[in-house]
Order: sequence, then C-alpha cells, then structure tokens
Amino acid sequence: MKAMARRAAASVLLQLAAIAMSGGSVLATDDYTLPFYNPAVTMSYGVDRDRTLNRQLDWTGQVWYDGQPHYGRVYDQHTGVDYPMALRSEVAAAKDGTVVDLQGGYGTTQFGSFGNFVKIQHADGRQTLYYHLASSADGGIAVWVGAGVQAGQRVGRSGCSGLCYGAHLHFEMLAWSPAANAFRPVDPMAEQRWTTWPGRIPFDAAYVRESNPGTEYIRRGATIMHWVEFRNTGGRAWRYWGTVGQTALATWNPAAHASGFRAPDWPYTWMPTLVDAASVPPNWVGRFTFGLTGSPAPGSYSEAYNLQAYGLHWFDYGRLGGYYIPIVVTP
Amino acid sequence: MGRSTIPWLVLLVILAAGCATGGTSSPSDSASSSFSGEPSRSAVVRTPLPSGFPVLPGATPVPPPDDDPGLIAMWESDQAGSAAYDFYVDALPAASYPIVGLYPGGEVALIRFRVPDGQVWQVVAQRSADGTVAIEVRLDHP
Repeated sequence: MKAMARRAAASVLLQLAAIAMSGGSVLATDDYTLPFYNPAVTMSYGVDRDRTLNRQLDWTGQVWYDGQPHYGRVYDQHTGVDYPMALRSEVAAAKDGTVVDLQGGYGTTQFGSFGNFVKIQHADGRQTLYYHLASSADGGIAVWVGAGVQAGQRVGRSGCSGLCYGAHLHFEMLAWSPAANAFRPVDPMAEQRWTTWPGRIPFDAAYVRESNPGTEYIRRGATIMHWVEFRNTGGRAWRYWGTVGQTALATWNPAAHASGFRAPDWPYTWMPTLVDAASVPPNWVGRFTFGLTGSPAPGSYSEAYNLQAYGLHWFDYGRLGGYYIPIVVTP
Repeated sequence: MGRSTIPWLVLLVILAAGCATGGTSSPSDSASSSFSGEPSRSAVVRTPLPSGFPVLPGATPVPPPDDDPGLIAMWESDQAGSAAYDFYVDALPAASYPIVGLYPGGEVALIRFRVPDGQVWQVVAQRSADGTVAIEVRLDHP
C-alpha cells in the first residue's frame, strides 16, 4: 500500500513537473495564441468590459461615455476582439481543443443576424469562437464537429458573414458562468490570456547574430558547432519542451528537406535543433546551437534554415532575414 | 475622449448654446443674434464638407445634431453591412483622400483618412436600432 502511495505521489509530482516544464499550459495565463498568422494584422476593436449601454470600458482601462466607436480600443457592447483581414485569410485555433459547433452555410459576405463560425471547447473549460467566416463552399470551414485541433492549426478562412461591417475576424473567448448557467464572453486581454499585446502574431522572429556570420569551412567528415540567435518578435514564448510553442530550427528551401550536413546531435534529418533555452518569452533572444558535419563531397554549398513552431506553423522566412549558412567542405 | 474631458465638453456646449444663433452658421450672424434674445438653437461652427466628397449612392443626408461639433456630415442608408465600408475603401483614395487606418467591426466600421490640409478625419458607418446605417464624417478623435 505504501509503495502504491509513493508511486501515486511520484506520478503527481511528475505530472506537476511536466506541466511546469511544458510552460504550464494549465497554470499559466499565456496559453492562447492569436488566431491568425498574418503579421500585418492588428486589432480594430476589443471587448467592451462594461455591459452598460453607451458606456465602454476598453482594454487599457479607459472609460468612454459616448457610445461611439474608438478605433483600436472598443465599441459599445462588443463581446469579442475584431481583427481586420482580407476575405479568405487563414484563421487558426487559439489553443488545443475540440470543435463543438460550427456553421458554414451562409454566404462569405452574406449580411444578416447569423453568420459562419467555428466554436472550440478547450480543456481549461473555456470556449473560443471564430465568427464571420467564409462559407464552407468557399473554404471558410476547415474542421468538423468533434475534430481535435491544436493551437495554431488552421480552422478556416475569414469572411464577412453575419453582422459584419467590413471583412474581419471576430474572436471571442467564453467562460462558464455558474450564475447564468451558460457560457459568457470574457476578455482574453484583461485576463492576460495572450503572451503579448494586441496585434502580434504568435510566432515571429528577427535575426540577431550567429557564431560565424561568414562561410563555415568544414573538413570532410568532421563536425563543427554553430549557433544562431533570433529575437522573439512574436506573441508566444518559444519553448524547448511541450507542444504549444515548441520552437525548432529546420531546413528550408525546400521546407524540411533532409540535410547533407546533419550532425549526430540533430533530432531529425531536417531539424538541427530545438531552441536551447527552456523558455524564450516575447522580446527575448533565443539561441539555437547545432552541429554541422561535412558529409557531402568537397565543394561550396549554402543551406537555408527557418524556424518552426514545431508541427504547427513555419515562421516568415523573409522576416527572419532569409537566414542561410554558406558552407565549404574541404578535402 | 476620457472622463476628464467630459466636463470641458459640457462647458463648451453650454458656452456654445449661450452664443446661439437664429439658425445660421455665419460667425457674424451668430454674434449679432446672440444678443437678439431669439430662442437658442446652435452656435456650432461646423467644418464644411468639401465639395465633391464621395457619398454612398442612395444615402440620404441627415442634419447633424447641434450638440456634436466634431460631426461634419451625416447620412442614413438602408444598405446594411459592408456597403458603406467597401464604398469608402475605394472612393476615398480615388477622390485623393489617402486612408490612414481601417477599422471594420461587427456593427460598426471606421475609416481614418487624410484631407488636403493634413488633418485626419473619420468616416463611421454604424448600425442603428431600426436596422438602417448611420454614416458620419467626423473630425478625428481617439
């Protein structure tokens, strides 16, 4: 019995450790990604935290008494966060979950009380709603009820269906209200559910420096070490562990090709390394250290690398500075 | 407009009402009529809408309320949804009013644009309770 209790306690400790190491997706508040990929997208209106008519409390804490729209802040009685985007732009799940409801039968720009949407149930008890989507026939719905989705996975494309004044995505977070016995909108920004401030995409990076910015000379068959640093200009922390936000350096052009320079420390033929640190929050610099083995025949080469939110989404290679390493393999 | 600016706005409106005219917007008329004892109506010196400013086809002009000096012009339209927004996204640049910001939403759309003297104005399309759309041109405000 004692051994059983010890095993149970050890299991609990292990689970807690796993949660902590994976970034605490249960405990932390930075566990939702922004629901799109386009780095140019910024918020047009946030949640009105004051449900009184003609009185608006915006995400900065400012109160307005005029019932007028205030760009970048709020409009009266608004229950979600609006992101302007061109029709048919990619929309992504904000967190792992299961699709519990959707509608795709309205036209992409069909105006009316009802529009196309996807609703996802998350393990933390919350739901997220992606509204005004394009029609199913137009590619607006990429999932089905009951489907499991991962954070960052494309769930549909934007539109202007329902009550819509200009193409945009209405993103809404819902929490269960025991008093109302129903789900009610909450403000993800008030609860610091994002890793960042409004307008940032989840995964983005800028080149900072590397161990050798020039040509790497490698004797054939030998292995050298190389590191490169990128600043996290996205919205999510990069992580070594876990699934959400796990960030890897991977071969590029073409994406995820098997590299001839793979060293013994590479996890995969196309992935030199995950980020070195356990966590790289937004604005911090993350280093990626990896080996390069001079396997190919002597000659001049160049190999491009990009970052990837592992299994979810590639970073914008151009914004990364078009990163590549010139390599000369010597006899 | 924050909490602290409200009393100033109220004061401004009261002062403006105290200088009320007999219904014209001419400053000189306004000055003379304010001493005439006529019933107060409006002393708002409203920024005029430039001639040739694009107007959504079918929109009906509505007289702007007296207590809203930032409002330049107003129309009503029965074309709900994106009609006004989409129209001005194209029409403003075509009429040499460069757009500086687009803010579409669920029941409201706002476009910030620059006028020739460098000022920024707004076009706001907002859903009314009766299902029509109020379209306003306003001086820029946060």
